[in-house]
Amino acid sequence: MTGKTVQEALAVVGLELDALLAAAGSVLDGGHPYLVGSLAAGLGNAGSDVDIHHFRPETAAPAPPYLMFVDGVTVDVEYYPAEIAARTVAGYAGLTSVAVADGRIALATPPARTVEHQLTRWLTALPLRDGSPPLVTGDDRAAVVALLARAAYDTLVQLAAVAALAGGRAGAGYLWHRCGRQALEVACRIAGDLATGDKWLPRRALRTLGGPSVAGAGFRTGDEQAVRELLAVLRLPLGDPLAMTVVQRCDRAREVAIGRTRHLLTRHGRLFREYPAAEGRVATVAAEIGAGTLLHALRTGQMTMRADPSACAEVLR
Amino acid sequence: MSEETGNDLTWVLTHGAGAAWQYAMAVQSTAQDVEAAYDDEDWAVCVESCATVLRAVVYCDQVAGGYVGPPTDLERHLELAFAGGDAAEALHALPVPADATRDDADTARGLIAGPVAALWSRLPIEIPVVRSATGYFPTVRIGRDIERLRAEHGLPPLDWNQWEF
Repeated sequence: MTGKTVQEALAVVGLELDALLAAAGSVLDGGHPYLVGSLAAGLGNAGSDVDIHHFRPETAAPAPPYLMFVDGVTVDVEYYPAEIAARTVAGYAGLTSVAVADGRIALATPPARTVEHQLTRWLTALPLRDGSPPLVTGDDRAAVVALLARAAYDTLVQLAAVAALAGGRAGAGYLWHRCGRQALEVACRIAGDLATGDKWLPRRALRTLGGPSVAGAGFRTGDEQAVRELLAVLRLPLGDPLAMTVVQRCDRAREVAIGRTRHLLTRHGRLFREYPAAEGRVATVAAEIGAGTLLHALRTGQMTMRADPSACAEVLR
Repeated sequence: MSEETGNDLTWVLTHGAGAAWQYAMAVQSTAQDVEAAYDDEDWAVCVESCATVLRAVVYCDQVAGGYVGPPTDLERHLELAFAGGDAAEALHALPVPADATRDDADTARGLIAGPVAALWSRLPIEIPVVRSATGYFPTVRIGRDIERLRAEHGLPPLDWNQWEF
């Protein structure tokens, strides 16, 4: 995507490929090691870590990162089974997608966040050794890009829903601001510009979305009107977010009895004596229990929200 | 740190150590990103890294209060929208990153200084920057000492990965 060579990517942190391979020694023996993350995506700066995913036949399951320091640069090496990238990507081949802006968004439930991050890294990976093939190519690449765009779109829909619920509350401006940023994220992904985390979004928006006017607008949104105007510029459809989202009790929260009183214990280790039981479409639940109660339940892990696949498909088609 | 009254040992072993750990993992390491971007004259990334620092400060405060596990993105943003406090307020006051200038980067660095220092003053122990050549081994020792105190206190080993900012 960026056209950078692995040597050029490593030069950002002042490392030479030969020096890295020599310092890593047996850690990078065998298999196929790839530079991943911000440097591989044509981003990064002198303080960036070097992230390496090493695909090896002898690795049965993904292993925790191995931390090294090479000439003062932090290097993370993660071992993966040799075929895991191909297997993971194959699971998403053939997904239906629809044309949005100049790309496509999948009509599918997005993968778990860890898988989303892995796929993002694998699509931008640069091989450290000659002869290592690209990890994802051709139609598979297009399918995964559409899937990653969908993951970002679902987040946009959820952020728009809580921003709308916030109404005139003090936090609403921040939530609409996050919607603007997320719209830029969706547009970057549709265009195939992929990276994880917030840090590089300004640079990605500037290089991919037509310069400072769009990027600047995306980072200045503070209300619904500004977000709607940005979405129009980016050609991203968004209906009524309160009709496109559903909520339910968090499946990792459970009721516990203390004496005669029942409490809700969340996965964050918090106990609540009062907690809502409603579930369903956000517009309906908010009318039933009140927007403030719903926002609090979502903030504290009592309830979870997701974008409704059929409602999103209707808007995206 | 509360040097006047001392820190409650149970709190240190159950919540305080985790907050200090997250301070090293999420706040300090990202503060290094702020300086790296500044040295690179990459003002947008500098401002963005300041935002990450402030989000991490808010999370460390949650951990110090007994919050378990990482929040989802939605939970995180709702917390930042409604929690109040100096770090969240500083986050909302950050300059726009997309066309940030050196002045904007200076403003952003100024905004993180207070909340970071205030958080630091509330932490019970000091953990060096973990992801550095000089910080790694001292951290291993601190972890071992915390585990020894937990065992003496009748507590099981700590899941140091439970927070993950």
